[in-house]
Amino acid sequence: MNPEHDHYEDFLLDPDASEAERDAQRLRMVADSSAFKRMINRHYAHGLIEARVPRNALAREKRVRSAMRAIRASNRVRFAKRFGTAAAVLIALGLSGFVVFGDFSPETPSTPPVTEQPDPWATPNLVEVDGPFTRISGKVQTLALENGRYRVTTQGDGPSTLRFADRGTVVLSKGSVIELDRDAELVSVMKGGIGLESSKLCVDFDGSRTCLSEGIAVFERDASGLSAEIYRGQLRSEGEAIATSGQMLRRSGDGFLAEGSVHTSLPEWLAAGRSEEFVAEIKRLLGDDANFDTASWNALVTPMLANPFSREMLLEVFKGIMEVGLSEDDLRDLLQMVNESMLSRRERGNQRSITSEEYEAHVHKQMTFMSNYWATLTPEQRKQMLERAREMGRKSAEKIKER
Amino acid sequence: MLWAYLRGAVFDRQASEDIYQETLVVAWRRLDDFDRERPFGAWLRGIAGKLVLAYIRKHGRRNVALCDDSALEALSQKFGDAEEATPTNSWDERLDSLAECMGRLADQDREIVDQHYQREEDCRTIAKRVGLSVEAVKKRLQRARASLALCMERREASESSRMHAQEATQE
Repeated sequence: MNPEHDHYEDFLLDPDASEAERDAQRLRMVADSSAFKRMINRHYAHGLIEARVPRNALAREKRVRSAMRAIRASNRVRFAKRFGTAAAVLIALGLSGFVVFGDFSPETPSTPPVTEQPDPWATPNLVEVDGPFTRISGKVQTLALENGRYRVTTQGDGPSTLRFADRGTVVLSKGSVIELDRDAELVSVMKGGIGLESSKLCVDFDGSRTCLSEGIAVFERDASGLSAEIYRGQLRSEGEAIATSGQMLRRSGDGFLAEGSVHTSLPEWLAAGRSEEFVAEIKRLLGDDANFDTASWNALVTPMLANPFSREMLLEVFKGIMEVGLSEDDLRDLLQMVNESMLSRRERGNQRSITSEEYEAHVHKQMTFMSNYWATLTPEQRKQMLERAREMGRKSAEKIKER
Repeated sequence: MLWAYLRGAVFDRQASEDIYQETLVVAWRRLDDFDRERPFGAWLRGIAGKLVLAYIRKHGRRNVALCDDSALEALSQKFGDAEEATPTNSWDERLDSLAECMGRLADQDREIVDQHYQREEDCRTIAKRVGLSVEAVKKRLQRARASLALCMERREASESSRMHAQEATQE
């Protein structure tokens, strides 16, 4: 042992230590139980500090993805026969870093102070028209403006959804007002908030034309001006990306300021708006013969659609699930379980990878796999799995409540 | 906590990552063996511990700090004790707790910990920067780890007593 090290004991954690120094320390630890306890304590602290370093988490995510690939590639895994409890769901999701190895700390976002403003939208003495939409859900009033544009105001108690033929959808929160041109290419948010899910819709960002490419974004106007929160995809202006998923955008002088956002879930009104249309589509797919319970489907689908997944992806998964031949009740139970064991755990401090396409692909595979697996279970096994998932969901909710 | 456990037992990061990945794959394959009555984290750490030993057999002890069953088990137990003391605490809360404990370290010790772990600087570089000998830097790191472990232990004990008191009041 190096005589210079006579007071230093952490050779096991010292990259410079020789094998001889490490062996000597190990021997000392075996002989001295209190020294052994101290050493374990130091290793415990070392592990915690290392786990706190963000770069490790990034590397871990990378390794986890690699592990997922290894599992999928493994021909020794017999999912359907052996996959007996919801713990499997936990492991699978732990592999994605969301449940087992990370935990969830919902962020309480700070909201800028809102000052009361007079409502300039209550008066127009203009002609009510149908507007350039292919479909509307919820109550809206559409007025033709003198400059050839339309003004759309929500009228009901909940959100309203406007669908455009090939441009995507706009969900308006209660009390919102937007204006758009005749071709529905450019939306201006005059009041309140809108959720944009589109491939071609552009928004007038206080003088700049900003377009969302295949993504989901929320634009909100309050006393401090217009802001955009990008949950998926990119927001572009003049061909340049000005904000990407996980960022919030505001005006800053003549330019824009994009900064990290703490929100991992879409606002409730947007989830509700997305859900309504989605449930209508499921109803259509199930056909007229199904005894369709819209309220329970809405309750089920809304929390799922609070995630920034594309509805097309989810719909594709649903179609796959339906091909398995599950009854409506089974299908709902399955989704309930996926919801409670997975999607309810989406909120995690600073965890923005939930918005990534990679995660979406993972969810897609996971749900498809689950549905295939579900079809192989007996009713009793399904019941057990659901109970376990509900228990996990309850525990998770209790933890969040306690905090 | 699996990652923290492995980082506590295996000082080489790459080796830790390999074992972490393998642990998850083994856990997936052996899910049928998991006894639901037992804590899930302890089960995973048990698998990880066995894989650490397998790693040593294959690659030698060079990259691994804790090389025998009893030390790995003791470290797993330490993590298990923390989970048991504060079962409702999330991982983020535990790390927040650690951050608070780090805040209580002497300024220079905290700086050394930060430079070593956060910026990945070796002890020689830190020694030059702070004007201490390399051995003094190592000693300070050692003391800082011990202080942090003690601080965490106290916080967990205090949190645990608070929870018990709360439960007793509710009853």
